[in-house]
Amino acid sequence: MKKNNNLGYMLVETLVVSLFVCGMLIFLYIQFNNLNNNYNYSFTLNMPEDLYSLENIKNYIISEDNILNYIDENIDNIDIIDLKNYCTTNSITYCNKLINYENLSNILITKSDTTNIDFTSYNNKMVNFTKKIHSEGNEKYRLIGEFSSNRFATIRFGDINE
Amino acid sequence: MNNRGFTIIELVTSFALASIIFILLLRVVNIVKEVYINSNIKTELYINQASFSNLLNYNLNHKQLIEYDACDDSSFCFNFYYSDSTSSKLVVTSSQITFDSYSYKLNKNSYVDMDNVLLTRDITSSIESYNSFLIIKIPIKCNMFKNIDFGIDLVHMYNSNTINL
Repeated sequence: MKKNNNLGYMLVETLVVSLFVCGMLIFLYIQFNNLNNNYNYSFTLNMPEDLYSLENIKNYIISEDNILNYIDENIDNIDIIDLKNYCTTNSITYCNKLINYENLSNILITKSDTTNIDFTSYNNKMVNFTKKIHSEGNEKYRLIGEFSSNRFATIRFGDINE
Repeated sequence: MNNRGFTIIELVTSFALASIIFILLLRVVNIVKEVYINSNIKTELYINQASFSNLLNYNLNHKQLIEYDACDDSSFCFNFYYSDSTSSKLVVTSSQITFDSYSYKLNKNSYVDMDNVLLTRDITSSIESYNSFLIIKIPIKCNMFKNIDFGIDLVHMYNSNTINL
């Protein structure tokens, strides 16, 4: 007579299903966590408030021939012009105040195409942001702003056809 | 001997494992639901911030502000006058911001930090094209995101020799 030995069957079955469900949950958690982190990260890049701040900086630069000439003369030799450093060194009060009021911790001027520019001397967040920059358009220069709230923004300016 | 069936230990272990998985799943569903609701509120606050910021910046920068004064009624209320003879009124209370026809009523979890609302000027002795600032700060806080400011921080540049604000 055939003996049906079912001892341990339900336990093994439950263990297998549990392992499968746990594996699925871990996979879903990792995907969801990445999604949530990217969602939060997206609110630190190119926010409208920050773009308007950079627009102010741009309008200021364009209105000041000294700064514009300095950029024109040096941008080919220096990949990155640090505007905050320039204004502090030259004691330009209005520029320093503007940068302070706009809550900028770094304000950089580069050529519009940042593909071959090395940003490794700046912090990791800046490096990560510059990797996401799309270098398209007819503008000559690019403003890259790092705000004290750990947000970043960038705009192009200066028509290449002028 | 009939060996069909399950032992009690086997049954108890299986049910215990199944209930642990069920509780974990329930927790995950609750967390996802909470994140979904929070992200909706956060997105709405950021969208409103962007709209209001856009409106305020456009009016002050493109329409050329020539004058402003405080209203007589509300605590934080200002009239802005532009070179094209139009004007706008900004009214800020703890639960609502109104600028012209745009009205932004905050939801029950957010509020304007009225202690830090600010409209001020800074005139420097600079001889550059710009020598003055008009600064408008309207911080908006949300109880669910305590470290984030969803408000407006506007800096308007002008020359006090040509425009007397």
